[in-house]
Amino acid sequence: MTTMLSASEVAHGKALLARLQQGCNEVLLGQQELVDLCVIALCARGHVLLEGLPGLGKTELVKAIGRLLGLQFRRVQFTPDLLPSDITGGPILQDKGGERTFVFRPGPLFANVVLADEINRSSPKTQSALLEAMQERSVTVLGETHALPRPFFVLATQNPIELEGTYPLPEAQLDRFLFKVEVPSVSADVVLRILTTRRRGEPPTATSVFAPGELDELFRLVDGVFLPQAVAHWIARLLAACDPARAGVPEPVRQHVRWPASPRAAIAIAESARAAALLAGRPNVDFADVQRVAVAALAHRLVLRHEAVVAGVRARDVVAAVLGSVPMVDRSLAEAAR
Amino acid sequence: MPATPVADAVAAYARRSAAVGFVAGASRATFAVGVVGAVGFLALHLSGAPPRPHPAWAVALVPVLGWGLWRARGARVPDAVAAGELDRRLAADGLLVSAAELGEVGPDWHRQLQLKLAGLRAALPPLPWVLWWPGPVLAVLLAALLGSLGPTTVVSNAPTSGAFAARLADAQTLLQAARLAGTMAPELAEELAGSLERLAPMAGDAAFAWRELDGVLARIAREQLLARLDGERGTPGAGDASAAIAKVQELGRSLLADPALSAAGRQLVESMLGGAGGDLAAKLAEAQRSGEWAGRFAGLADELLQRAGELGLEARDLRELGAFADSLREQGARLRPASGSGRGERVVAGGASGSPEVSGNGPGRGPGHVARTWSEPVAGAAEQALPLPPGGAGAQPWVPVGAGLGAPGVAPVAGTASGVAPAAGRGGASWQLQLAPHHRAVVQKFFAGEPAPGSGEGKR
Repeated sequence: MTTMLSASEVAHGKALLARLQQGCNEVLLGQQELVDLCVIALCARGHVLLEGLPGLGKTELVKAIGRLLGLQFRRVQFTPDLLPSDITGGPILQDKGGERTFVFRPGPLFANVVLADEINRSSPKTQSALLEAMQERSVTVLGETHALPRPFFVLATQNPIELEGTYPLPEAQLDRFLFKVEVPSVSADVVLRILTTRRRGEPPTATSVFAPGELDELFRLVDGVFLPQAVAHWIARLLAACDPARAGVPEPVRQHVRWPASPRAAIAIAESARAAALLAGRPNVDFADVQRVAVAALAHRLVLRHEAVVAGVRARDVVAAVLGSVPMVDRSLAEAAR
Repeated sequence: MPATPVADAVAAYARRSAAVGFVAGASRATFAVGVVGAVGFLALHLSGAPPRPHPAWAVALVPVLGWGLWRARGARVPDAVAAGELDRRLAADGLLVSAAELGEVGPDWHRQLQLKLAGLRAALPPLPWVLWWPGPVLAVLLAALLGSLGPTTVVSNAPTSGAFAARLADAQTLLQAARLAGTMAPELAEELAGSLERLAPMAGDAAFAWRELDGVLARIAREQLLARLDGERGTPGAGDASAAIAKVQELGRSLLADPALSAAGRQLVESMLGGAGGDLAAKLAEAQRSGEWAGRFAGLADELLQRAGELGLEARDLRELGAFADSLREQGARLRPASGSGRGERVVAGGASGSPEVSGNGPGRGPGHVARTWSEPVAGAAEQALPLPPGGAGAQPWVPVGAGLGAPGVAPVAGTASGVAPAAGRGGASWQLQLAPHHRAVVQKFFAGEPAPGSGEGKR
């Protein structure tokens, strides 16, 4: 029988998350929403793609998260000549007692938190090496599958303006990311705080905020957040409303969307909404939690028409239109509840 | 769903949703029934049969209740939907829908939910009582309107078959009276009678029937009015002419009956009377139509007086005959200035009447050239306002005499020499033009400097 988290459990989970939030906010000033989304994604055990201009602190945030979680952290600088084996690892010939054998040497992917910096600068074949790792949490080399450590997060960054020598991530790769978060620029007040509190812009050194086992406890609490059927029904209808082939979809979807999001998007919304609910101190998911994570979880999964891209239509605006047009409670919920 | 506070709240919301639907549906149905009832009530009132309250009017509640129940059925929401809606209205952050789904949410969340449910009454959708307003407002407006109209306020002016028949009977009566009085030409009387016969079966269903009937009435009234004006002016009428004919015939018969009448006088009288008197009557009738009957009779009386010796009349007969001739001459002299039709001032074609005031028409103007005669305006004649016949349209001055295909035939008029008046009866009558008073001065001024006819000079 499904039960709801108790108030004390919710309070405990909220406190754990607050610690992580506080640590991130000390490193990255003035980006509360970005930090919240990253924390939500980590609690949902999802990967995050950070997109923003250079110098906004994307890499520092990811590095801080790795340290705050107290997990093994690796950084991979994606370059055009990077090969898949450079990140997955590969067999090397070793001489043991006169017997030479191939021994698998793990690559930088074998860590709990992997920073894929400038991920769009590597070739597609290297990007594709992340597909299995991100989805299956495993790496297969020469027919031998190696499990990645748990938890496993890929936090990637990319620069949206320097397109020379870059390779845009394919849709399949984008779909692996739970969130794609656009890093906004900071205000003048934040810049002033950076100038006055940090020499050379170096953030304070972050240390782990979790004791051993607390991260697993946090994951357990997130899993215990109840998802009501009314909210789940709304998530399903939101996803259906993003399909231009369906009748009665909002006009922006019909005009601009070429391919809809996959069911993986609905799973991502539901899981991240659970984390958002715990972050808000609720034992259950609310419609507001879905609204909070929908754009980050859904926008990068919609493939827009070419003319819409040329016209400057943004996927996040399409998702916002869908959120505004699909009623939260619909009469069809009664049939779904039976 | 078990009976819990959450379940009760969800059920209350579902009931309120149905009630809102019922009120909204019944309100709209009330308004619609009110509008239809008002229109029907007003129509019956205007038609003279205002409806009276009757218990059967309660049938109007059937569509109201029916539509309200139908809308209530449509507005009733399932429990799952009601829980979602109520959760949003109570700002329960999904706790209520979770509780409605799980049934039990734990004591901590239950207390929090109880606090939220305390505002249940305010969270329920309000009944749309405002939708009821148009109905009573419409009823008040209708009552005010009917009150201002009064019990017998509006009488329909729409023509009915009864009114048409009555008007037709009036026209037939007037036409018969005009026939008996002799104030209408027989041809015109026949034509109007034919029109009335044609109109009789129409019974006033069409507007053109009313227009034609009004036209007939207008023509009858016009003929009566013209006859009355003729009588007032002293224009010879049928009664005067008949009396004169009778007088002359009586005188002739008395002469013929006198044995002392000489043979020559007897022959003269017989020639004048035409034997049986029919010839004389025909001549007199012709003289009457030409407007010169008074002069003819006066001439006849003078001739009888001059030949009194031949006739052997006695002094009494001579005196009577002399007085008769004097009266005729006096009447003829009185009527001479208004000779002709006598209806207004005219430019009379020269030669047509033979009047001594005939003047030339300047140099020759080609075929149809005629001389002009300026008559004096007759006071109170054509330019006098003619009163419209009561209840009818204006008199039609032009009456169509027929219709046909092709160009109308024109009688050829022989060309006349320059300045020579055409002979009477050869198109001269076609120059009888009616001039309005303000045109008369202009025309007179234009021809003022013309030389006498036949001089060959003048304005062109």
